Amino acid sequence: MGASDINWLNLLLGSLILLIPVAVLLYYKTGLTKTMLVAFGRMALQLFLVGLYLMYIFKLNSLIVNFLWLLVMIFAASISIIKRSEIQIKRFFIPVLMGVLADVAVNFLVFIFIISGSENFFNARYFIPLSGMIIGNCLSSGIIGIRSFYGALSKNEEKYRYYLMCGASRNEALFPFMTAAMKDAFSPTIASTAGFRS
Amino acid sequence: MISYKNISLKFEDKLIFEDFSFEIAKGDKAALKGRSGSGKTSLLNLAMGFLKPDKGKIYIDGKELNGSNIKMLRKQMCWLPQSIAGFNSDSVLSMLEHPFTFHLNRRNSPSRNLIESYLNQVNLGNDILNQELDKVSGGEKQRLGLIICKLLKRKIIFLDEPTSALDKESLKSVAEFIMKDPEMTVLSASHDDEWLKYCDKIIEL
Repeated sequence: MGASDINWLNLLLGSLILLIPVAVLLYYKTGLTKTMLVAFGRMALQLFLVGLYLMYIFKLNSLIVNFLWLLVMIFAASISIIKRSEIQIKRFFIPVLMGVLADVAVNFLVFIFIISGSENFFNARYFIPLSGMIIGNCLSSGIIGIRSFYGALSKNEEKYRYYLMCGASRNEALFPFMTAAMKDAFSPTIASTAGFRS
Repeated sequence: MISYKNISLKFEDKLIFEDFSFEIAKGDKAALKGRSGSGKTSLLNLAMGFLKPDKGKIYIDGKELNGSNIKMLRKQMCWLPQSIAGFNSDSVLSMLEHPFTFHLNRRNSPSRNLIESYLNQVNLGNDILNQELDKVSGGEKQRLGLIICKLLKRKIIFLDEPTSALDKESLKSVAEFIMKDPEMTVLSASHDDEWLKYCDKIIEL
């Protein structure tokens, strides 16, 4: 079944669904209406520009351009994880970048060697959206995990120190915080994987 | 054993100590006495390497405390914080045993008899071992924390307000449990006059 284009009028009508959250936010006097509308405007503009760009990338279908695009996405995702996790960019850029790269590399290997085969996979129509999905998942899990880890650590600094003073190594003292962060990071993915089955 | 030499410490531009020095000999039972905010806990944190002085040096067992030897020096120390974290334990017994799951302590796991003997020395019954940690009072947790310090057989113990949740009778048993051990060097932060009676050296802040 081929994909059909959405015309501008339908797109505009579709976006009217936004009136529901706007009404809720206004009713409860959250003060978030303006922020949400601005965010929506930014998202629409970004998607428009990305859409235009992707049209050319899909037409061009060059392996080098595809990989350059991937690198840009990985770089941007790493910066986004660091900024939204509110950690120091200078100290954490390389570790976070390595984490995103590792995630992408492992998933790519699975796609290339097990699922789709290299010929299909490197076609821009598969390569770009799949990369986006992998990086998107990595982004949300990364932000949740890092925020949870450092949040719990700063709240329970005394507990961490107590572990150290009882003879724990740094890794042993950090282990419970790591466990909590992993649980938080994986929970949304597990929940969405499980779906609504009961 | 523990020596603070010409310590200066600032917090957000507020000077807490300037050129402050004192020493504690091996086996001393010393206390830092002062009102809230006078820097008692900060002095403990300095000796445990959790704070760095703006000026001055700290010596533990003759060695200058620094980033490269803190891990090694901490092996002789233990600490009872004001509100004790019970690890991620469900029961009292698992809390007492948890430090012995750490690589450093694995070979020194205490026997059940030793644990029970220590419990009795601080006026706690053996039945507490099966209790859920959430249901244990603050005073009981403080005593369990002290038992951990003793089970770990550390030479230096830092106690931060060790009697804040103890009644007079429990305080006496705790003091005898900790302060009668000639091998143990104790530095406590306290403003409890009853506790201070058991200390042989008081440093007023």
